[in-house]
Amino acid sequence: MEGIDRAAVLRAKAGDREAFREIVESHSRHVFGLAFRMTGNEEDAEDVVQETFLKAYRGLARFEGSSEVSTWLHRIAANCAVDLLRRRKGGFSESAGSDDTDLLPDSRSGPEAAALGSEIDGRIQASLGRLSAMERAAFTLRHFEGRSIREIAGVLGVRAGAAKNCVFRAVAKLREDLGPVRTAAR
Amino acid sequence: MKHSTDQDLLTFHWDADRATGAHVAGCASCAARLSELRAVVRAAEGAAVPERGEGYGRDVWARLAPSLPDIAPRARLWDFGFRPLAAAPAVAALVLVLVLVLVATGFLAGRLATPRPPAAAELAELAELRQRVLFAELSEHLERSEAVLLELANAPRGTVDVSAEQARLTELLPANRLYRQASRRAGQPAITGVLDELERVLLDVEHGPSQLTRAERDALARRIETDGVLFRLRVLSSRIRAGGKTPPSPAPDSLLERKRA
Repeated sequence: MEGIDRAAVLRAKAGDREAFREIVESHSRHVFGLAFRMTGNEEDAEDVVQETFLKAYRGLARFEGSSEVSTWLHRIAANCAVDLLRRRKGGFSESAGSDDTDLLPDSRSGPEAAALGSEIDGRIQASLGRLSAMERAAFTLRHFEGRSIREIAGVLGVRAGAAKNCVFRAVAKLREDLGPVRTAAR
Repeated sequence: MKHSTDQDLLTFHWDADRATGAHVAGCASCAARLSELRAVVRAAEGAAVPERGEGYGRDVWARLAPSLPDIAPRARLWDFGFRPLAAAPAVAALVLVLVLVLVATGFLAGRLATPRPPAAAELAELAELRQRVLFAELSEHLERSEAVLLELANAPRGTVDVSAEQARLTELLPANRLYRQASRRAGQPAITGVLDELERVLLDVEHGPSQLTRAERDALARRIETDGVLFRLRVLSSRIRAGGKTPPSPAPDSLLERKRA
């Protein structure tokens, strides 16, 4: 796969649009997955996907092949998502405002269990939405992408210590929000 | 016995370092906390990603393709057998000869020809071009600065770590200084004023502590939001984006009054 990717990049660099189409078609779904996890919103994730491939196309000449094509694309996507999250930060903070832990039902069976499941899902989304752009990005890259702290620092353009703090702060916030829900769900 | 911190446990969860692993194996309390932390990060996986079908890549391409310009293949010298290192002395000599020829030509031309003053239209065109370039670059800089200010203003309550934001300032501050100087030279007092104010806030953050107490965080948020730095930044940014025209120079106080109204 990576060999095919590199060959496609070389052809695209030489002006072959079809080669770039191959790259777009084979990586779009993964880029969307990352974008959605980082933004938590389908519409934003679609914007990130478009922006990512546009930037990749414009930056083809600068891609030296020292990393894998997927890594290169994910790095661009992460940066696009971070930029977008920073611009939309106000909206994310609002979604985390309510704290309705007390509203959880006491007994769970049938429809109530389903309602609880949906509530937990909503809580997870709200909790992820409460993370700052940097925290959400750092956590996604660490947990879902398996990136090292050094790599995350590179993507986010911060020092390794700051990237590490972002990841830990994200987990601390998730723990604060999700702890009561998980306990209630047992 | 010294227990593992949450950070140690998370690092162990992702990187499986041996020292923490050995401790957790023999410590029920740390094992329980590790299990809780794992449950928390796994809970985040519960946030489902909407499925995209096999044809998604084709859809993305269909939307993307019209906006892609053609890439002109760049012919490189080494594609034709040129070896940069081997040819370095020859290239240096060639460059030297060219420089000498240019200097000599310039010297002779200066002595023989009467310099023609640039036409007013050319000067105006040049000034407009310079301004457009400045605005395009500036717009991006303002966007990045706004993002940092927003992060700081919206930082969670309580003690907060701003080291990530401070790290980003090491790039933003020198750039801000350059734009401020360029805007002053270009006779743009409105832009210079906003950049001046922005620089003061950024400098204070950069030189301040990386851990802010609640009071410090609140004071900073007030300074960013209530004192209007962010607002002025947005006004300037939107005016530049609106058409790259020279923003008028309203007094900062009048802007704030309008905001409060």
